Amino acid sequence: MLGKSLAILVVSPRERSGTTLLARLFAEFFRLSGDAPLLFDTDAQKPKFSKYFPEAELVDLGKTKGQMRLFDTLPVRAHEPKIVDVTGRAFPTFFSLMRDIDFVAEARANNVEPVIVYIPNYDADDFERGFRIREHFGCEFVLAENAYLGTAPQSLHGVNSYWALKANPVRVMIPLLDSMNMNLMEDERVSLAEFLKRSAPGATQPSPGEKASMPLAYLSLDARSKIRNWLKPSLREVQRAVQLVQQRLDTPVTEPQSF
Amino acid sequence: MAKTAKRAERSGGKQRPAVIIVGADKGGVGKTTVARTMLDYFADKNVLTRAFDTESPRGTLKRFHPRITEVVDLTQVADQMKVLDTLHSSEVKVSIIDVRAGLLSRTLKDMTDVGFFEAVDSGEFNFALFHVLGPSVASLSEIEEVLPFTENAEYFVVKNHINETNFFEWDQGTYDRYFKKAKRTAHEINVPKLNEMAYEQVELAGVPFVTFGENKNAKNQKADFSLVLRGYVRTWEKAVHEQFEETGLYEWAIEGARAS
Repeated sequence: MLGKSLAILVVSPRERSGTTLLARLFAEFFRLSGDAPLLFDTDAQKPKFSKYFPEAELVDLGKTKGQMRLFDTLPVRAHEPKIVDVTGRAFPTFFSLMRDIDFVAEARANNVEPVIVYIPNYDADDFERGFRIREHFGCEFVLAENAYLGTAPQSLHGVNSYWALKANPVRVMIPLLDSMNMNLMEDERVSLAEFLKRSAPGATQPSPGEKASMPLAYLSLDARSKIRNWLKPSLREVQRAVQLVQQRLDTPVTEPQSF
Repeated sequence: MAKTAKRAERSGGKQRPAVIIVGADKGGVGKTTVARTMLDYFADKNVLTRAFDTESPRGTLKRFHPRITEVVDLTQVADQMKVLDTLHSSEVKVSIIDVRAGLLSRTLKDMTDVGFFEAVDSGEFNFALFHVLGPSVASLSEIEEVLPFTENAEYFVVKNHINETNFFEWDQGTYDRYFKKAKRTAHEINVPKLNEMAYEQVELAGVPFVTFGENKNAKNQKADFSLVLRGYVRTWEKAVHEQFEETGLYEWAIEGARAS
């Protein structure tokens, strides 16, 4: 019997918070686990997520057809997980639609569980907004902290919603990668899973012909090791979060991988 | 709805059905849309309602609410009798009449001729007029024509934004003057614009808005309508119903029914 399938909504109210990066990590995690996730990019203005995955669908939430393409597909009963990158630009429209169409109820009626993966900046407004979203929708919620965004200032310690979200049962921490290597990872031709496979000790080395078309083929050992040391714990964080959510939903967990 | 209470005293507890006319003299302002959402509203409140569609011979309202709608020609005496002479005898105490475009003033005059408004004045019936207006000046001037018929009635001015109109020609001064002259006020309902694709799909489905929102077809079986479009319809209709609620429409209709 198929368990519940997950619709993972990676969201942030602000730009440059790491939604695309985290959505990539989720997508790569499921692919490495043998799934074929359905992928959606909601940033019609500056699409990024769909550049990494040609099979990802770019949807314009400003248009009814785009809204239908996304929200009519997400609740479809299927084993495959779905991953949506909701950048700061798409955030307000995405949530007002989600509320107005009662998306959570429809998804659940089809055995699909929406999982909001929320990346706040260390700002009281962001935590307040995240708290309200969690309470309003009542679906699975993951607090995702991105080390690139710094640490919580002292002033946040007096904010109730900050502590409420910090106590969320499922949390993810994206570790920090130095900016030079992060720039390399942001190259649209880079596949995280492919990099992991190619950079593994003992992996078959590409031929000079193959190397020409591989963006990270000529990386130094040091850079390669730094990226691997960032990527593996990041994927483990994603795996842990997915498995926790699946356990909470009492649904079969995704095959564990040893990253 | 103070007038209703006064008339209730005068009625001495006699049967007092409620009659609601939805109309406009200008066409294309969405009268039937307003009537449809009103039928959904009363159904949601468990108020039995019957509807009359004057788009004879084939009515639009009947297409969406076939079980409770009858197509009538109110210019014909036989059909006037069918509507008005059954107000007391019918078990359904709320009657909604969707008057076809251009016939509102004429219908109100005809109803005057048959003594309907005298009966309203004497507390025999509750009467409400939902006057659906477009954004034009011509639409505004309709108010002056129909106001005399609403002396002992509830008068609702409905601004229908179905075509995303901004009521840019709406002159508040002129509007206020009409009511000042008549020494009365009106309830104002603003029907927001419904997403065009959603509206189109409901049209194609030929079901009440509420049925579309529930993803059911005309046979009450599970349909396959878009979640997004259903969401638009539900949100839109909720916004309209909230305004009905604020005006006390339900209590007004029930009061009429309770008096019986």
